[in-house]
Amino acid sequence: MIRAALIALSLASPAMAQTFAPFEGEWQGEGTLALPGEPAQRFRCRIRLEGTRLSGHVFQGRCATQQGGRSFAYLLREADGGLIRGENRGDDDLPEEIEGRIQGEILRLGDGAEGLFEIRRAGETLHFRLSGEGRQGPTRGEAVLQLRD
Amino acid sequence: MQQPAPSASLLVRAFARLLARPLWPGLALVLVTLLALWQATQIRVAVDLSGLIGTGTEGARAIDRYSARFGPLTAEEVLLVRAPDLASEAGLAALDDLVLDLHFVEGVQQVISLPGLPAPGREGAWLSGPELADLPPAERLATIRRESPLAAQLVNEGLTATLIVVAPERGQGGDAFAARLAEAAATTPALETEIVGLLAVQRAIARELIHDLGLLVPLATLICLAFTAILFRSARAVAVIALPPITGLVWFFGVLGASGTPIDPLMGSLPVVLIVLAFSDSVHVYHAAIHALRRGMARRPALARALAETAPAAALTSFTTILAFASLALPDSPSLNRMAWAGGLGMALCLASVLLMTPVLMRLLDRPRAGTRAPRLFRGLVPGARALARHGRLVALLAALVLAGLWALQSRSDLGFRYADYLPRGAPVTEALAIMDAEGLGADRMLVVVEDDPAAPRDRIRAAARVLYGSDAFARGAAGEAMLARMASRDGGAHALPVQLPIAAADVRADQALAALEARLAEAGLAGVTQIVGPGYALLTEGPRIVESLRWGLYSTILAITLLVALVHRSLRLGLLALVVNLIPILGVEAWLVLWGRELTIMNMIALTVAFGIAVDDTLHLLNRLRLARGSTARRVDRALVEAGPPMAATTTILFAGLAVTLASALPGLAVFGGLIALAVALALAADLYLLPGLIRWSLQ
Repeated sequence: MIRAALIALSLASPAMAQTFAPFEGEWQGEGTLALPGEPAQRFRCRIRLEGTRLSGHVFQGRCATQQGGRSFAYLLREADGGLIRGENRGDDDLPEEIEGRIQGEILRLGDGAEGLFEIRRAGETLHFRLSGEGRQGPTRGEAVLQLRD
Repeated sequence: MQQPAPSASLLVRAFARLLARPLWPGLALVLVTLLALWQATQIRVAVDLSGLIGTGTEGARAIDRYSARFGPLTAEEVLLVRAPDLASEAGLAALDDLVLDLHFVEGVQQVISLPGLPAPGREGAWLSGPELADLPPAERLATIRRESPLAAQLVNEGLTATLIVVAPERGQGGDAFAARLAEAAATTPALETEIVGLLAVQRAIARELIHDLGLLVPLATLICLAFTAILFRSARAVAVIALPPITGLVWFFGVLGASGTPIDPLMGSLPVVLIVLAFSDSVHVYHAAIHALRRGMARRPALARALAETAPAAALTSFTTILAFASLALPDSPSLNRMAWAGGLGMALCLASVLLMTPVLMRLLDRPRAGTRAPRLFRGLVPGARALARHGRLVALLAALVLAGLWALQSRSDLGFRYADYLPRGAPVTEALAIMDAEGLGADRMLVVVEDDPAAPRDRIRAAARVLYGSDAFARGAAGEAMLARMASRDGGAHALPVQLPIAAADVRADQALAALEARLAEAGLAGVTQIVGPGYALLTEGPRIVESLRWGLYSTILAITLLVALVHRSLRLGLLALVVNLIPILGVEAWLVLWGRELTIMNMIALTVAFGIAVDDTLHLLNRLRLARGSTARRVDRALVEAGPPMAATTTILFAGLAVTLASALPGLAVFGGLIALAVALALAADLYLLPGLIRWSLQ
């Protein structure tokens, strides 16, 4: 019984690491941010995803336009059935919890409403998308990120 | 033959004991000095110009009121970005990159820049928006500058320089933050970026202070050593005279290090003042010892008597300077209050070092010995002074004329505050500020709080916008409302409009631009409903109030020292004579400032106050010798001049030369500080040698 549990645990950890593996590292790149009634703006993001010493991953980053920047930090943990739950460890204005799944090379995390982070690995790049309900209405940003040294 | 004062007998015994058994006291002094040296390694330099402003001042209270209504007022970094081709596609792209890079610097909360300014009628960026997309870059910049009052404050008319204001997150500001900004800026080589603003000025001052402390204190010490060597022509004599002042300074540094008291711009020249004053005391003591040995007594009793006779005068001269420093505790200003106790403590430590170490060193180094001749260097001054002293009435008339003339001149003095006093000469930040002055850009961000009129909520804001920016366009329409919402107070009753004012690098009054702005606000009928706030504003408005307070401190010091002299010599007449001769150097320096076209600034007033405390020293030494002398007034005055005159001239030369080294400082305020004190002591010597003896003879006859 114990042996079976240990085997399960030893198999579970690499399996979880594997799911996040395509996204791990520090990424940076640019794209556009669209605000309602506004032309697209230059948009730069820098995100980092890495495993912690305890079970879980830190997903944090910062995105900015010429007019302002916003940081975020979530602690991601894998729950039952492959569900990933993220707990806000940064800005109070962002949703306290987000959740989602990894499907292939896409990690999608949302707050159940309009808020969404989506990262998709495509070769050497990472396509990062975020959306949410801003002060002016729905906001959507997209950027193509490269792995930083 | 002079007789020792009865009160000196206790001192005579104490010094005799030190001279007889110097070993253990000597070892104890070495131990204390080693301990102080160890603690001195903890000394730090900290520059916070806002430390000049106390929490109870109106400027500080205005900041508190602003913080309660609008949120904390963060100390922002201001970047001056320059490029000859800023108004080109490449230049604007580089600026765009730089602004984005700054957003990613750790600890950044907000970046205010030209590329981030919102377009009219919408919230998105204007410079990169569709409205200007068809225009060439120069035209884009010119349009935005012409039509946006905020842009006009951020970019110069020639379109070659722009400002970026970076606000740190709470608790993130500081040297490391500025270093990260500079590092980020360096990644855009197409643009030349210099961090300017009050914080950058403070860092530059701190760097210069550290440089000064490493250069000026050793230089002043070397000059004093060289002069002592010329005067006494003996290595051992130089050791006896020089070691106590140097040790006293080490003790002072040790206390600063142990107590965690930082050295700030006001205190920058304090170590130089302390060492030269301690040298002066030491020379007086040594001189007295030489004189005592000529009386034919055995060496040790003669030295003990000489030390006991000079110690009260040295203590009194130190006490007058301590009194002068103490008056700096009067203004509500943490920096000045810190200097008050540090200066007083430094004086006390240096005096203690001179009085405790000198007998030990005299015994150990066997100097001075019987037969040692007093330096002849300044004897030539005495005959002229003695001759003039015989014409008491003429001297009294001359003193009255000098005093009246100087008084008339100094009455034209004005109070003021100059940034140039604090800006290090030749520092990159000073040069950048000079460029900004020339380009009409301001590095000091202030806020004009406009109280809303409930009957017409936008009227005052628009009127203030017209005063500040020349137009109220930004406050109109939906976008204007959105912008104003960001500027609104939490209680909804006021708005804070930003305005960039210059940190004037040129040698002009710092409040020129501010006074002009306040006058324009008053003209628009907004005087009672607007309040300018910001650290710079507090500095500019409280500066003259501090100077006024210091002036009262100086008057108190003058009164206290006059009473002290009268008390010590039990003669109100002598107290008043001391007042006359010591007002001359102070009024002389003030008159010189008037002729030079300078105001009384904080640094100048501190210099005058400390100068008075020092200037009175020669008077006290002369009166001390007068007290010890016997015979008729004329005879006593003659003897006092013969015995005190040459050491007075010698110590004044040491003070003058030692303090003059501060002129080498790149910090103008510090240089002027030392320079003014040097001028005051030179004038004090002239008054003490050529006026005081005559006045005494005229007055006591």
